[in-house]
Amino acid sequence: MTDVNIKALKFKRKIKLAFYVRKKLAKVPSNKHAVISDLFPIKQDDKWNTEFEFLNIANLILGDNLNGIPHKAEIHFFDADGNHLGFSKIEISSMGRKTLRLAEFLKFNFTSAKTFAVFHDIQNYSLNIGKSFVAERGYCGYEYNRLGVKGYVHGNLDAVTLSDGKIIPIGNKGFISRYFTVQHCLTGPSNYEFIFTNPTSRKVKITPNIMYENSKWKKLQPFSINTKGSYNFNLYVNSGEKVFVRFKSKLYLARPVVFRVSNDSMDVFHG
Amino acid sequence: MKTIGLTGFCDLVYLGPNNWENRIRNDVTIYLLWSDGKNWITQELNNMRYGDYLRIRTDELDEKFFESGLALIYPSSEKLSSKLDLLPDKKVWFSEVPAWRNTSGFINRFTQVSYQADIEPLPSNASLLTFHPFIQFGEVINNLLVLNATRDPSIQKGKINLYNSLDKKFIASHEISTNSLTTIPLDQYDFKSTDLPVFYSPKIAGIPFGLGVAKSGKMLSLEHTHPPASLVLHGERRKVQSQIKKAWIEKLVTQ
Repeated sequence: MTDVNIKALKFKRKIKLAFYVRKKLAKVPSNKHAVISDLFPIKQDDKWNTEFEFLNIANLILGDNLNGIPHKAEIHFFDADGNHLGFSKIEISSMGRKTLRLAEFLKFNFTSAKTFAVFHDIQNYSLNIGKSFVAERGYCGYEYNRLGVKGYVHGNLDAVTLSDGKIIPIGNKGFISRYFTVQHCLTGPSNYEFIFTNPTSRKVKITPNIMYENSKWKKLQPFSINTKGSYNFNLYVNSGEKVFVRFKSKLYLARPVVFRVSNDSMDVFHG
Repeated sequence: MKTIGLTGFCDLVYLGPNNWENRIRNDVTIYLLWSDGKNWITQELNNMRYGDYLRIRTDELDEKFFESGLALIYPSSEKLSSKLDLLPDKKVWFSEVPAWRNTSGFINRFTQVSYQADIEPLPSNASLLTFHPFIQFGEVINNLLVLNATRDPSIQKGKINLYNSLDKKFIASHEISTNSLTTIPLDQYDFKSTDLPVFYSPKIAGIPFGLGVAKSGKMLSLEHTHPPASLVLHGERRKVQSQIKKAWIEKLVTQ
């Protein structure tokens, strides 16, 4: 490839980026002391348990448990429509790991919660992180069918920020719709669940498309998600079928968390 | 990827993850690449047309390909020679928002576990520091997997050291290698549910995974740990990562 061709390709890519991804995936919070969190999906019922690995992030950044006091954070809950249901205070006493069982938070309050965010309290720390923001994009563990072993998945999107007591969505979206094709061939017999969250400040419309092997794309019923809301798109795949799925929306990154339930077991991963 | 007792798989889907960034449509040849320590050896596996799906399983290929635990899949628009001095640098299936990936993972007779994988070759001489919150308790086998691939085919050996993040106590050291997948059993160290192990490799970078295998075989768990830069967003994340690594390494190695 000649230098001229390479320059032309780079120029073409810049033009495309200007149309499709004009800004950063996540906005920079205006408050320099803001903290950021993903919106983590909750699966909690007779079949499912959700846990979260709460870590002492401030002291992980500092390299030690320097101040010797418990590390505090808030866990905030949202329903599928994006309504803020409230929060609980959590703390971890030392450097280590505290596994939070979501069932304990949802037992009496927040029963309709579908997602949660974790905001770390960093006001007592001198974190030398310049213009960066502390972000919780850690790990949820999902247990299915009392199998005793969790499937882990990390945070998917930097979705919301807590700034001066307000929770603000920070995801960006474009003005042109685009497809996100899940990089996974769906195989059966299995039930797939794609969980989307909306990290933007406006309602988003998502249109699923599916394609069976050696067939054409077929448009399915679109759905909408409120700001900070979530939606579960389900698809059953029969034995022997191979299916591809893509999602049309204005989201920069319409990447769902994917659950695959098959043969009394499950698999969880990012789309 | 190949590890004890499980079959590795790699599912390739020839459909770009978005419709605007890389509109490649031409046929590609799927190569398996593995290192013999001197060269990358190439094995032509299949051809794929746009829209095709292909599953590659370790138990359907010769064991010699997986002596290091790792063989790489490379879609090529050109014919490759049988031996390569370096990994090919041409990105054929490539995009950034999102990255073009495949589904890799493990299967057994009950279930499967998936991971959205792609790998850019790692620097030949770099360090790794990561925290590991994936150890599970009960009827489960916990392993750490360390994956490394560099452009250079040589298989260099190094150490990964294991510490407790609370008291910085050194626990153990294991050998890892470049261009390999190393499996490290973790249950021998009797971690408590509140422990957060730290892994530090001074000379070999890698992608660390927690692999949990139910003793019944009915559930598999696989997820990668994050580099320290993921604790923050925006700003100079690389600089912050350097600071975090420096702060931890000073404490860990001086114990």
